[in-house]
Amino acid sequence: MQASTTTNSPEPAADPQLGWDFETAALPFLDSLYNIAFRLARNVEDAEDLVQETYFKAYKHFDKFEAGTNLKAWLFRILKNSFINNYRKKQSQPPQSAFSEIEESFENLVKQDAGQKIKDPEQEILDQVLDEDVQKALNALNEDYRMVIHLVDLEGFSYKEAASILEVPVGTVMSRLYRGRRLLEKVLLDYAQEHGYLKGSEQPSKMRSRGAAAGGSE
Amino acid sequence: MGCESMGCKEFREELVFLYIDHEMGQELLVACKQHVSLCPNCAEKAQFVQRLLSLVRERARRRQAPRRLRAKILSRMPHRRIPVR
Repeated sequence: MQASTTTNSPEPAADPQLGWDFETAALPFLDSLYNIAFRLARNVEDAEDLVQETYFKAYKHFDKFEAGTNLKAWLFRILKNSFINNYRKKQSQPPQSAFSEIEESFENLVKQDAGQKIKDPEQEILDQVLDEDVQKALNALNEDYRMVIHLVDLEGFSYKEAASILEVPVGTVMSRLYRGRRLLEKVLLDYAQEHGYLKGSEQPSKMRSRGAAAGGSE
Repeated sequence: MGCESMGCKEFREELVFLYIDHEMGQELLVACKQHVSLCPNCAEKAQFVQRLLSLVRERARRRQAPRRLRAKILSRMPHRRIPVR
């Protein structure tokens, strides 16, 4: 193999055909990988670096990838690990993450919530939600919730696939999804109510009590 | 209201998410479908969750990777620098 003139190339694959196979198989996932990279890093530069690093590592280890297994999940897992190792802020995370770190089982979470009286929001309130509300709401979640919602709700991975990407038990995926979606729902409904209020469709006192009911679950 | 084999509480607090996500076995799925057909409150809950998740899916912005990124990734792959005979 020719000596590499650049300092940051993957070790040459012993077989160039493997390189071509990799390109054919893995490049189609570029947009998907970029999307989750941006979802996590929240800026273009880091997202690009993260994706590059992911492809770099994947290329290097492609000979170890078991053909016929889930390449997309494999790539996502590499990206997840690169993110955790290099980009995740080391400073303390918002309070919600303290719950997710303990890996509460889904059953326990449900039991906790079961005691609370939750008034269901009305269906029509969803009509008030704007595109930017969804963006803002997703960004407001901590990484654990944002990540699992992106994997399952945006990329369509199954619970089992998400668990293999995140390298956690399926129960952890379920509990993070549960909490993350509940938070997302609350935040979106708060925004929707604001729009509704500004439009003058609701009286302030009614808004407050409905807000309290919808936000009653935590 | 609802059927004997499943409680509303169980459905609305726990099962609804698995139901919407298609993450349950056939037997439980059949039981949920039956419950939803019999119980308007649970049907409404299922519909709400479905609408919420669809909304997030449809409205979340999907970006395209910048062109330069693809070029950068490919340029660093040695197989692209080996002349093909």
